[in-house]
Amino acid sequence: MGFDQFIGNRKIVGRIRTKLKQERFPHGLMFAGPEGVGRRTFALMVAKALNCPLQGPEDFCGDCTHCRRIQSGTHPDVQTVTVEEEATQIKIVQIRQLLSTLEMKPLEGRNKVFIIDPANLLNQESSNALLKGLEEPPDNSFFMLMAVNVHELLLTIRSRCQIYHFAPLTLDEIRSQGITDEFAVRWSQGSIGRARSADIAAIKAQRELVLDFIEAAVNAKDETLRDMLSASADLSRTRQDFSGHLTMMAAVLGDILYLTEGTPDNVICADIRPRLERLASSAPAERWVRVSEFLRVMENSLKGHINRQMLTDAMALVTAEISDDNPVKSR
Amino acid sequence: MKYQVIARKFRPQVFEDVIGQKPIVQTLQNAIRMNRIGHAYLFSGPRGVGKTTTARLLAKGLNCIQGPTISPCNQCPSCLEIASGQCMDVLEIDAASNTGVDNIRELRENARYAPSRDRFKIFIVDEVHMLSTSAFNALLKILEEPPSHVAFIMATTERHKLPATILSRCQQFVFRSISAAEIQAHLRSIADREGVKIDDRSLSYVVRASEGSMRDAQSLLDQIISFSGQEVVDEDVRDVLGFIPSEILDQTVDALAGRDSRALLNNIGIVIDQGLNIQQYVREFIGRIRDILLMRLDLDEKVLGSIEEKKALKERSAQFSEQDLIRYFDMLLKLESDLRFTAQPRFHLEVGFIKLAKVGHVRDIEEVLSSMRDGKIAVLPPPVASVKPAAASPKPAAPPSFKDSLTKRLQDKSPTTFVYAQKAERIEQIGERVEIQMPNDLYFSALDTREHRAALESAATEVVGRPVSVSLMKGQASPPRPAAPSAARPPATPETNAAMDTARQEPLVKKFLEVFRGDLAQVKPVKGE
Repeated sequence: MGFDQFIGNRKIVGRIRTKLKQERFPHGLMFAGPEGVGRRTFALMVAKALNCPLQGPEDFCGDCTHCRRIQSGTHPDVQTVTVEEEATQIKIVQIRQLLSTLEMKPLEGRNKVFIIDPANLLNQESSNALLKGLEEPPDNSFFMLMAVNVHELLLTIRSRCQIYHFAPLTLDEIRSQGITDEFAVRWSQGSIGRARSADIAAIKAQRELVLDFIEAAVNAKDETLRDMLSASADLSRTRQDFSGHLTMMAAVLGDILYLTEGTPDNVICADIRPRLERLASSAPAERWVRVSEFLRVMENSLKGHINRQMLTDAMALVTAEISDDNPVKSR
Repeated sequence: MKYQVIARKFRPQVFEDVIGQKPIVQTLQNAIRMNRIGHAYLFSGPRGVGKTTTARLLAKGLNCIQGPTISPCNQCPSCLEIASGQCMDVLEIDAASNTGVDNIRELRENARYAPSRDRFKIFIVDEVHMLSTSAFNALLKILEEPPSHVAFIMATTERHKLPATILSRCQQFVFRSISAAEIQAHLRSIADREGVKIDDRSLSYVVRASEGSMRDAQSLLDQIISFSGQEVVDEDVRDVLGFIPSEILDQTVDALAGRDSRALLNNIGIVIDQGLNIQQYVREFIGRIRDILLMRLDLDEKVLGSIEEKKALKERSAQFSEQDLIRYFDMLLKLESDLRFTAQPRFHLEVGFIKLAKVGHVRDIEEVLSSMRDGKIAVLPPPVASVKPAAASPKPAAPPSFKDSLTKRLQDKSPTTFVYAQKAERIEQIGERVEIQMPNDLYFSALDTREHRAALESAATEVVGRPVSVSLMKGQASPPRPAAPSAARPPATPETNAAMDTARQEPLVKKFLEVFRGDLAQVKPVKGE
């Protein structure tokens, strides 16, 4: 075991290791980047290196009692603060609890490590409660904040951390992890977590649903439009599936644009290329851009409380306008 | 590990070291010198500009064994304990984690007792904006008339969250962002003291990325030092700050100039494969477009960079018209803010870039006119299909119709309602009522939901300026409407027709119509002729 096991983002690994080696380790770090590129794994690795008696602080062994307990989340000096069950945010009581242990010396290891994950779910009160502790923690205390999008965090929090942006992995790095299905590799978009957890059959079924919807909308005539609108109900049934559908829609529309703009190597759904090409050739790129832009409106509206079917209905209409000879458009 | 980050290690310990807040420091020093010390201070301002630092310095100045003094000794027990945060008489309270009224009651209780050793009992209340309403109110009386041995120093980044009753009881000091030159000079002195070699150009990158916050600047410098060691080279700095290599930006500009969406997509691919940050890419690209625009406007002196770089920019700027650049700039700014909050940044960046490549080039009107004057016939490139084919632009001169203003309002308020409202055959305001006629049953029933009606009603109310009701109608049952309001031009008579024909023969008018692909709408007799 050791840092060598970590896949991708070698630069960041190198920098953090230098810091560990030089004992210039900052007390506040933020790991930003997409889900599933290994930020959490890496934070735990750092926590191990800070506490492993055998190979620390430059590396860690992974086998000693410290490393093992850090891995299993039972080490008394490494705390992960996350959203409690049935809650949507990290609450101020959790931060107060953290702060109450901040002044204590490490119990068993050399350093105390606090991992806040995901930091963008700190609410207004809990972020502010963290500020003073995060700025000047006692010696031997370290914070690591995980965030997908740093813009969702308070400026005052960001300003107290050194921020590292994790990049998606390259397709080859994903392949090197034993992912054989080519669609899974491309679908992962550089997230090893996404590639591993992907239920390819389910995702392809979802893709089918989305493609049917888009095709129906593109080919809609006045008399079939009503059926299509009711079909959009299928897409919008549950909130959870819905954001998945939007992701899929982005992937499919992205692929169509890759085809219209002549960069077919980027296509994610390469296995159904002929079908995508038919769609791509049914309308000029500008129209597809317009549909794609509406997707952004949908994503945005979803943050508020909005009737999902209303959104897909509107999407259907926008898509239906796409081909010139469409009767809907001529109105 | 005894290592401390630069921001903590170099926290100013005397008033003279506070950077960029001269008026405030001077005022406080004078107050101490003249013994006119207030009992409640409020420090506000952006992150990392010295609020907490100044609060601690003020506390030291007041309680130093040689004080009250404008130059605390930093040697007496009071000064040392304040620096380490262990002083009995200077209580630094984290108002963000102790937000409740109970915490303030405790504070009030505490304030009644005389200081144990020092001159004053000082409460530094940091992040004070997070106190609850009742906590603020509990503070009011003691903040107005505290015992003579008590002083409050409050600090916050969000002054607007404080009640006016608190504000009016404090002496307020608004800290400003620190200027680039001041940050740069200070970083230089830190680098010297740390024995780090770094050139001015590299430092200027750090300064730019810090956006006026000293702590941000110091924390970036820290990252750079631990990355490169004692000798920092330019490349390392760009790398640590996640700057986009200049070649990629140049290639992107060239791709945009050639309206080559394929090359634009490839550039996005390169940025992602190199592990660079997409948002940073867009931000820097905006910066590059700005530089090119400035070059185009001959404002060379506003652009940073070496002579060669400026020359390259100047050459690139020749490929664009001013209008193009301004338009790109606007579109990119919107794209940048959209990207902040999307779960699909790559997709939306790609869509945004394709859109940039597809918008038609706008030719500089001066250019067209001058080529007309030269006798050359300038013909516009065929108009590129507008990105929004449905929103056929209304005749520029015509004032927006009621339908237009209503749908415009809807577009911002409820994008889905907007999609349907666009389909309406007729939207008219009749007194206190707005009639919306949909072309068929399908659209009628689609729009006839509670949500859509609510959106329509509130938008209509905003447009009209008083409460109105909305009635939806379906079918084409309504009698043919009288001539459209836009047909307000006078009826064609033989005279006007003749005038139109004459006008069409006029060479200048002819050329105008040809170049701008326009049409004659009306001919008016000039008054007095």
